Amino acid sequence: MKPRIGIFGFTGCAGCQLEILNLEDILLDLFSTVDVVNFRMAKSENSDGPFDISFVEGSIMSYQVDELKKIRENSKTLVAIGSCACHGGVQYLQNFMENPWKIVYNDKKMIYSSPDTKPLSSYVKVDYLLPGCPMDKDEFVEFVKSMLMGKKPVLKTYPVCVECKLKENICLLERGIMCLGPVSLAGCSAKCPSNGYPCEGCRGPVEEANIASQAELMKEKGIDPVDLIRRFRMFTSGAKEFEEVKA
Amino acid sequence: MKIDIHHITRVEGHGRLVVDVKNKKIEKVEMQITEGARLFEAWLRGRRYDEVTHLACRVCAICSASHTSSSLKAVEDAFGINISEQTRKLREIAIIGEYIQSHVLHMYCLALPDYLGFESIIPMAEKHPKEVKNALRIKKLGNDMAEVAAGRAVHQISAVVNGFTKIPSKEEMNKILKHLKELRPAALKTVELFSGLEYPDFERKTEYIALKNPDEYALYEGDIASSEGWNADVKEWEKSTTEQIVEYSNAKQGIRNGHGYMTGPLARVNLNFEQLSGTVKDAAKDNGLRFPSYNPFHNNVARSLELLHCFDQAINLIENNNFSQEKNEYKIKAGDGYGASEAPRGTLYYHYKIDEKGIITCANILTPTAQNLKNLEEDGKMFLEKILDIPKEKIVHNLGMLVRAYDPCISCSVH
Repeated sequence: MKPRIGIFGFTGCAGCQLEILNLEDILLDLFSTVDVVNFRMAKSENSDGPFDISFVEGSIMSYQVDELKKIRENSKTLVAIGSCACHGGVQYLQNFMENPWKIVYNDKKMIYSSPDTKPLSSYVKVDYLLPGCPMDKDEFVEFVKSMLMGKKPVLKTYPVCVECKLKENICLLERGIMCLGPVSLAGCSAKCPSNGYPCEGCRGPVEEANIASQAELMKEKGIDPVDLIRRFRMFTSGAKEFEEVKA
Repeated sequence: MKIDIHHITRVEGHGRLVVDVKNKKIEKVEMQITEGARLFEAWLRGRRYDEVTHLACRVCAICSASHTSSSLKAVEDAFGINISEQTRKLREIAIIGEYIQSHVLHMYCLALPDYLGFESIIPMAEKHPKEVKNALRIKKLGNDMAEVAAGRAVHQISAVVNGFTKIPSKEEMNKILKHLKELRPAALKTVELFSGLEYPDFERKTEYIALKNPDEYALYEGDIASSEGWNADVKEWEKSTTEQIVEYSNAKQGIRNGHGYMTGPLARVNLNFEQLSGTVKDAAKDNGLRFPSYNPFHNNVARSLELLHCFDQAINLIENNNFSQEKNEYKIKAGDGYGASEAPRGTLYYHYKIDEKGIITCANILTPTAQNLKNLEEDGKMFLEKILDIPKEKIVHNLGMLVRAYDPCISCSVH
């Protein structure tokens, strides 16, 4: 029997769900290999489960917790896709501010107000993380293939620098540009440095990265500590290791 | 009769439609945007001019190239930068790529299943494999264009203040050009297909607003133009429109002179039809299309015309150009900056206040979907009056189709 798949979106830009629809070359093959039983962005008939694998995008507002828990209960495997689901995403930046609601909504009380926004793991057990802003669609395809073959998916454990070196890019950090490649998780083919733009850490911290020492090194290279904190607070500021970077 | 479509499907994001009818009188049509509020306008404060655009473009994946352009334009306006012709063209190519992928995604994956009687593109692909495969090929070309021009299809990388960190090679551009020419006939077929669909018989004249450019069909830049005679510089946007906060929706609603207004494909084609490429105008004529149209469902036809126009415009931009790395020098300057471009769903407006260190002190973003919401509710009321006597199940389906005709981008609307 084909595995039953659910694709869900919470708070975010829908970019990771879009990346699935952006698999134009293999989209119809994918849809014939798995049984997509819930994908509200693309389908009108949607099942409440059970699901063999659920891919969940977006960060979670307090009023969305019950819905997330229901998905978890009905899923054998739950995969967080993208920076919002894995690490809180850009909207996590509101958690570093005093009363951001006032700035945007003039403090008006609303039905769907929510005081905070958090990654999935704050509320449910997450089996796998496919991070990135957006998630990397090739990594997604590799993940699905492994699951279909009953293999344990092999996810990257090394920093973006490794992929960047393999592409023979000129090191931006060496030029004094604030690049987070050494401390960020690979899996994106070093897309930003390959486009002449420094890594902004959108895939979150790589395991065992010495972030404090990297921050010191960057300061020695003349990078302003305030700029540095901001760089760590872009897309994955909900990742503890990045959140803790101090001036 | 009460209707509660808890989660409208085949749209991007979380929207709920709540309708209340008592004794044949429509008491309520509420487009509730239940998507979590993301508060960009709060936390963009304190960010630096050269990092703000990568954050701002995360408002929306589908139209990130438009967010990139409008945000960069606001910064450049504050700094008094006049970008080069090459930078403008590359940004326009990224935006055209975005239009192609966004319009095809909407037309074939989200809207067409309604008209052909499918729940999604998955069963539709089994019955109409050729059309769906061609649509996916066109969609991929759109994504490839944005990737070649600006580094990535979703959330562009290389577009920066006053230029690009990487310039596409001639080979990459020529490959795009080849595919544009190969797939243009499929884009023309899309006009035929969408002209021939049976749209609900419904008209409601409203105010149509779009950018207008004397030199071309405005996508990247222009001044404000409205069917009610409002013509102004984009700086005037906040002076003549307001954003209404309603407690049932996390998205604000665009209001002008006390009513909703429409922005997006139908507004653009209604206002700027004459500036579509000659062959697009011919295709419209051949397929019996007439504009202005006051039927909101004709947004779908307008999208198909814009798709074809994008092919012609992109071929024109790429065929006559040689791109090379340019010098990028400018000075930070404190002040207000305004930027607007036409995103696939309508006019996207940015206003930043920037201090002398280049830090954003205030950000205001008007997204097309938020601007359209009031108008959508007004359409919903009048459309419902017309279809009140059909079975409830069909009313629900028809209202869903009306919402989808706007191609709402709900993530955008709750920025």
